[in-house]
Amino acid sequence: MTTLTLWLRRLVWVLAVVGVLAYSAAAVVTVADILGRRIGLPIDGVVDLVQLFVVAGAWLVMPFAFMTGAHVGVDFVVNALSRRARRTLNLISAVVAFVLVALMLWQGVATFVVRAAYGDKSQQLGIPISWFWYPLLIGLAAALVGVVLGLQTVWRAGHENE
Amino acid sequence: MSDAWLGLAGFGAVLVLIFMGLPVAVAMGAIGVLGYWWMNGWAGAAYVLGSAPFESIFPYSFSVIPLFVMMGVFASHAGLSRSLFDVINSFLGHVRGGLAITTIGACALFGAICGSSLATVATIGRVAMPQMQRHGYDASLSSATVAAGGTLGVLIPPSILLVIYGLLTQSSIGRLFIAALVPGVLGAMLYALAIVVKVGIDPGLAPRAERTDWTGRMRLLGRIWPVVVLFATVIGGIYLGWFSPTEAAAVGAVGAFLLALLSGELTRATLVASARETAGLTGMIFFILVGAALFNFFLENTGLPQFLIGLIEAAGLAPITVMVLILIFYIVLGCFMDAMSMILLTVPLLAPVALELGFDLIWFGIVVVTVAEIGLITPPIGMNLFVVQATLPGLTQGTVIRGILPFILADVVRLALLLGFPAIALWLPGAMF
Repeated sequence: MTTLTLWLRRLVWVLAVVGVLAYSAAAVVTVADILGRRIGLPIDGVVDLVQLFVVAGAWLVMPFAFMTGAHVGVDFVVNALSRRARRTLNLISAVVAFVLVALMLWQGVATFVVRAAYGDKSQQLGIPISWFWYPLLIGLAAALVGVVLGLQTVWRAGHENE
Repeated sequence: MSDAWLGLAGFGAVLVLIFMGLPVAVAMGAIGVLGYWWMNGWAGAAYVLGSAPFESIFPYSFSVIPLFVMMGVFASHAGLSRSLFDVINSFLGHVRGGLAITTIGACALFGAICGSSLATVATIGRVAMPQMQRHGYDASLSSATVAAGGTLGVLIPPSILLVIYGLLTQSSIGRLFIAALVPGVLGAMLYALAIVVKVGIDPGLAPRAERTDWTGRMRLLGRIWPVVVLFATVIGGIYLGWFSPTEAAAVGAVGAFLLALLSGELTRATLVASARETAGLTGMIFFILVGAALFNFFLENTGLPQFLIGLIEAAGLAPITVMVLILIFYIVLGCFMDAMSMILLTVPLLAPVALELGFDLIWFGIVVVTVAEIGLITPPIGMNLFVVQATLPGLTQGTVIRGILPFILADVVRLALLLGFPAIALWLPGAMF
């Protein structure tokens, strides 16, 4: 494994850890609010905070799901094929995923620019809408790396199994 | 080609791509974008590509997904499976087939704090399989029992599949959870009955284990209070109006984390494993939601659901006949697709049909998730069959599949009962809400 690949894998893993920490923050804030409501000390803007944490978490863990091949699929047909055919289908699958994610990133940037220009903010805390978009754009960009690393893992595993 | 036929072709194209090995989310997303592009030009497709990914994850109600996933992941690392198994075993282990019935009971109770079928199979299987092997249980019976028992985690609340169904159909998640309770318990009882019948026919499959006295039973009962407290807090809190289902997921996640912490099982290694599981599972689920959103933009544009409703009305079929056909379609599809993908692909199409035919969407959700459960144990790609195989070295796929038929029959009986008596699912939410 080259140094670059190793660093890219670490980057994807770090993003995943940050994502899971964001989920944890959403859970803690929600529980704190439930307890706070009982004693008359609710947390202001809890919905905005939870939304921000979960949106951030969801997009930051996505590259990890691509890298580790966590996405569900049907593989019993593919597994019945020859090694050459399997590699071809793996490549097609990765190319389609890469193109789809790249198109989402491209159009996501365009939509982000427009919405950020309007200066939209969240309803309770007035969090700029851009903050919700940054994790999406980072996650999609890193997912492109995740797709390539995932293909590398599948090909290497296939090679070792031969 | 009319728009509806284009939608049907798109649906078929998604299935073809899935069978070619494309991840379900990617197949749905790619066909959704291509279909929308075909119908509305690049400007339309660009709009969908730019907005659907953001909008499909943004709603506050979706925070329930990662939080229930975290609850299940931490619960599976809290060392509770052994206590659950030991308690039920102390009451039932001495009867013939008792260890297998114990396994079903442990799966049902673990499902009440976990919500993931695969985690239930892996966690309970690690405890139950060696025990049944030690007592001379037939490998086919024991492995099939674990695989089938694991499906109970899908329906017994909190259930991630029910959450996703609720979000797709805008049904109340609280009502869905309450509605799933009786069918879930019924499922466990029918599985136990299947074991009793199978062992009655061939007593050699499951020798009796040793009896535990009442002192021992009471001592063991004291060890499962965390499971009872966590389940009662999460589900009871929703019912009593202390918090919403979304907030209940947060309470469950924090509660399961604290249980894992108190049990002493939460090491650095299990924390890393928990983070990996949470990241992989939620990344997969959220990207399927994005793919489904892209596909549904296209599907709605084609008017396919309305087209199907028109076809059914023109055919003059009775609603119950249509529902049986829908369920047969689900059972066949479930043999080849995983439960979540199946629900995300088909519910936007079939829920309007069910509603138009006069079926209650809460009931339909319970039925669809029950059918999805069957898919988890039907060859060739019933996921639970593979997971249970991994819990015991040397166990072959053929051995597991040989023992699964009685449990599939039990599921079909449950489905028929749900179809014949919708009150099994609808009575409890009707009485509570």
